[in-house]
Amino acid sequence: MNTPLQDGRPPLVELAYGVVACIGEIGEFSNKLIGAEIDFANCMAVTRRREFSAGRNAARMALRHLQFEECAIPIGPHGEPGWPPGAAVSISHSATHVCAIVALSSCHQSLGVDLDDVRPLGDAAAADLMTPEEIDLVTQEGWARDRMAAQNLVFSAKEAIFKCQFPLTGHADLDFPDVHLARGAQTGSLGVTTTRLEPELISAVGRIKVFRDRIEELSMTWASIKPA
Amino acid sequence: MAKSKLLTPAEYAAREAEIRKALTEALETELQDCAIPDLGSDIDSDLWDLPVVDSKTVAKLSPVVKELIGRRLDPSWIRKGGYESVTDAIEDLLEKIRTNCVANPAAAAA
Repeated sequence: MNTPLQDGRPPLVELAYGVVACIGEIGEFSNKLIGAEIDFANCMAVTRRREFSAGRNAARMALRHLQFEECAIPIGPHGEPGWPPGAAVSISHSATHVCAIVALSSCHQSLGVDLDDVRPLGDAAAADLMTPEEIDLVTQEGWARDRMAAQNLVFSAKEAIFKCQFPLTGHADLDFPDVHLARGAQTGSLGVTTTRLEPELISAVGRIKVFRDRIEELSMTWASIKPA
Repeated sequence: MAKSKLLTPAEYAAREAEIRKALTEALETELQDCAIPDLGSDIDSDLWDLPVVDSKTVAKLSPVVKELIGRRLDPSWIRKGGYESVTDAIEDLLEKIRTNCVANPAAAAA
């Protein structure tokens, strides 16, 4: 169950296991950018810049709750954000909303989050990206009420998984058919398996747990790797 | 399952404009479903912007790709993290199609 951490907007919520989420409409967040973010954003189109600054500020709000000082969040070579030492963070955008989740890296070695924007993926696209077993699994877990919602959720979960494993493995080429959702060892989370053979991927992916939360009307999936 | 037949370089060259146009129209249609007003701007301004193209939007093009080139969009062709623009997405997809669906010119000539 989520625990609100403050009154007012945008919502700051504690998820499971000490993970803090800040989520809201893009327009609710400040435009402010810091340091290297300003240079990076200068070449962006207007709406992309707005989305970018909202994500950075959502992350900073959640980081502040965990006592991190305000700082710039630079961009890595693959477009990945450079988080402050001691923090595990992930950001996701939809067309209208942004979400940032944050935890101490002593508790979560890495995080990944994805907002489910509810746009139907479609059976044709889903057939290439997931198995019927995965669709059934999320339905059985009570995470989705129908096939369309289940397809969206499996897609979203895999996006969160890709983000979660990347800081540990460096693999930007992990694909939808490479990972499979599996029944979790504990209620409320799912596990992940991979068909890839690289040892670092097997190690990281095997330690991922996937969660699903709703904050107000927004559905999100998030993935976590605990410290070894 | 039999492998899809590769296009010859000449076949692809003859159809590239058509493929680019069809993919662009399909992608713009998908984006219109989730387009948001440009925050704080005059909506009649030339600065009207389509949202960034995310990987889910590109994934939904699979049926269009199959209709155009006879095979489905391979998930590995979809850039994780999305694309900065429609042009970026289309050009990346075309590059993937050229690499994976068009015969090597040397092999085609042999």
